[in-house]
Amino acid sequence: MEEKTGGRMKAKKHLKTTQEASQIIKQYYAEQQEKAEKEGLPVAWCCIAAPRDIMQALDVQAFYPEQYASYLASRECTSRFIQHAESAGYANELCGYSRAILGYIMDGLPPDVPAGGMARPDFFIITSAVCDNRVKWFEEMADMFNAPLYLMEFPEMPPETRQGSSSGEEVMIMVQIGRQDAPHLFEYTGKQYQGLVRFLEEQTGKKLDQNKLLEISARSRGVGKLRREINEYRKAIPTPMGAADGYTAMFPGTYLPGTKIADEFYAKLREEVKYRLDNNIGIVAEERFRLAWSGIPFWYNMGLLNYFEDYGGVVVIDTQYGAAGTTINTSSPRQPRRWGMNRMVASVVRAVIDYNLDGVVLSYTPTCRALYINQLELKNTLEEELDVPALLLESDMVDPSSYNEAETMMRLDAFIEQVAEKAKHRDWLKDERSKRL
Amino acid sequence: MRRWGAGCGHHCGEGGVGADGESEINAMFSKFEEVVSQRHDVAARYKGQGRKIVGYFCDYTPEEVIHAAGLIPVRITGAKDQIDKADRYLQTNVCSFARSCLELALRGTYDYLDGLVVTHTCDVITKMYEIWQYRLEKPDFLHYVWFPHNIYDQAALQVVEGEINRLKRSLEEFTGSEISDEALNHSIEVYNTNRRLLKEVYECRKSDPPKISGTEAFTVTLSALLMPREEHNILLEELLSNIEGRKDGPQRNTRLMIAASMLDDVDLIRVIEERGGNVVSDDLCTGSRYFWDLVEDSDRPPVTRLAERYLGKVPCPRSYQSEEPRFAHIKAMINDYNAQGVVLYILRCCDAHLYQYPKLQKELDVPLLYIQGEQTLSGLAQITNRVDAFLEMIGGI
Repeated sequence: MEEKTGGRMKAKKHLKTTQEASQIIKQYYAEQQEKAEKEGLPVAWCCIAAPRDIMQALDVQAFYPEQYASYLASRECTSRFIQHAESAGYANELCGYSRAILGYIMDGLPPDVPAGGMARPDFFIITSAVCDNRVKWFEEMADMFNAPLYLMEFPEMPPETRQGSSSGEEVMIMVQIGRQDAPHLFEYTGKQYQGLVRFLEEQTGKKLDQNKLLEISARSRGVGKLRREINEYRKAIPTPMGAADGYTAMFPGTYLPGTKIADEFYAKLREEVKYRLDNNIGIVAEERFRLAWSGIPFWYNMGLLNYFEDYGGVVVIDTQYGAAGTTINTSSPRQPRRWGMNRMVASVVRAVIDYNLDGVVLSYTPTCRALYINQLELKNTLEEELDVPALLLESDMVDPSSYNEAETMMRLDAFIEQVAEKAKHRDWLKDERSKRL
Repeated sequence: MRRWGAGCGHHCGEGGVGADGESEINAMFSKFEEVVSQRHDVAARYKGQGRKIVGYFCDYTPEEVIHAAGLIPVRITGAKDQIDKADRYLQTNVCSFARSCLELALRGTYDYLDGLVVTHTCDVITKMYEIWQYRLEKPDFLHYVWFPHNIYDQAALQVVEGEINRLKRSLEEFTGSEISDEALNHSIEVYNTNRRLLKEVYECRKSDPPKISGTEAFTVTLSALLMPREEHNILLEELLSNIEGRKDGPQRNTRLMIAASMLDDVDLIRVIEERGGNVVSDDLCTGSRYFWDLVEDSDRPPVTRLAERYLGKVPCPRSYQSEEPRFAHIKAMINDYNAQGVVLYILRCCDAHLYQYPKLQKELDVPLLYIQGEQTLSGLAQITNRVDAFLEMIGGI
């Protein structure tokens, strides 16, 4: 399938282990399709926040339309599906992921797609966490297949005071489910889990094996621990691993936690990152400035992450999927008065402090309401609280037709100049050597 | 108390009213009109009389609880003015309604508010709460109500009851006085009366030509959201007793229904009617969808009855499984009011409406005009042209 995109760049990976991830993705799709086809195992299409361990314990073959849309985009294969969805009346302001996948369904799940595509779903799992529109999108898909859907509600609450997000907790998740003054919301969330188990047992005809679930959950926590350990190493200057490798490395941890494949992948990755750390091997010869990528990347143009490297810059971490911003670095002299209007903003502020960053690229994906609406506030907060420059880059996450190469490059160059200059005077770093870089 | 029946009762029957009657009716409409066009001055006036005003977003907010606390609930609406201050927080391609509301708040237009209640409906409105809470110093009282998407699920009732009770406690703390069941029942009665009366007004739109224009009807409904409900009820009673035999009502014309994601101003309907259509019914969260369903009369606790009402009302498309009941309501609004076509006005980026659009388009057996909406109505000339073409097309059927 050939499509014109213009100015598209593939991400360059610097590590060896991360180069194995693409094989893992292909294998995952092939295996799932085979198990669905030959063994007749039930197939679910799920959103990213769906509880994977329960599905794994019940041998559900899970596909993630958001992930598949990004995979299609990284192989330049979304345009024909997006066009199909739009010609059927789905407006071009709607979530790019949803347009791509709705079009893929309307095309009849064609086989000539990367990794063979997603197997035909028997049912759908959706949560209302983070994004409200996904509920509508999944409802549309379930309707197209006339398949059952389980909607798992997550009652998210905004911060309780005008001070915005608090930083008082050791580990922060990006959203707050329930609230102390609302015990009924916790009870309700509990019921949602029970409902999911009942639904899955009905769909699979199996009883959930609690021991198997505990085993998978324990393993999954192990993978989480490994990923956090790797992230700890990335805080070093120079960083041994950047986001270009990080995005590639996220698949096993996000979609296969609780499996041997993920265990082995991250164990190997940790060794490689540790080796690079011990031997002071960075991403660029001389690391001059450090960035975060915040928000969804432009999946059809991941090479943007490497763009800074020629200028001595590294995108150290992504704050959306990279599990950054989960710890609080209280020893840094950089401490904000307020952490921002909500937890998503706070998690990026924390990452900036924790990973010793000089600037943030804020991807502004106009069709993603849940994330884009935070971005300007993130820019305001970073500038006000930490005097850290942020660049708002606008483009859709999977629709290459929205990408403006000339403008993007021009703005990147101006931003690089600004950040590189500022990074020369890091008065917030204790390490004198790093300060001078 | 009025009883709502299938017919339009005595109010819309034929009868004779002299020239004085006509001017009396027009004087009544101008009272509603004043509330709509001077909404902020009107609210500030009540405030000046020692009343407390609580703004709220979305028709899923259980207003009766705010009313029972002795406060005046008013719907937060935007304006058609250009955005300037809100640009710092929301980019130009964010929902223009949200941007406009924030603009007014930042300018100080909403400084008269004593409180703000935001109910979880969509991502954008939720973020409005967060921005307002973090960036603005007023008002003192802020409250967020979580509302489920899964409105027809059994577990929803309990969680909504919980959220209504939490709102009640929070308001009690703010005012320092308890909200009794008696007060809640009274507020339910006031609001139910309002709903019944508004339905009677809508009944007057069924005849051909309708007794009142779409512009007038929407002005009447919109004013309900912006003033004390008891007073609105009195105005409605007056209007309905005088509407009989109105002679200078609208002329016979192409009958249209309007459906929109958010409409807080009468201009769009006025333009459609100026071009020669009669807007006879609607599916608006500031129109029929807002008042169509009453709180059921029963012995159960008021909080339970409120929860059932808000969960069971004509849904916003943001809710899960809202398609069937919403489409049924739209079809009833077409059939019962003999609409010959539908104008669908969806604000840019209003996802919930946009996801339902392809199916809605297929479901309807009358012509549909889809207009991509913008709060400032900046593309008005183009809208006018499209309305002209649409009316011509229907006229030619």
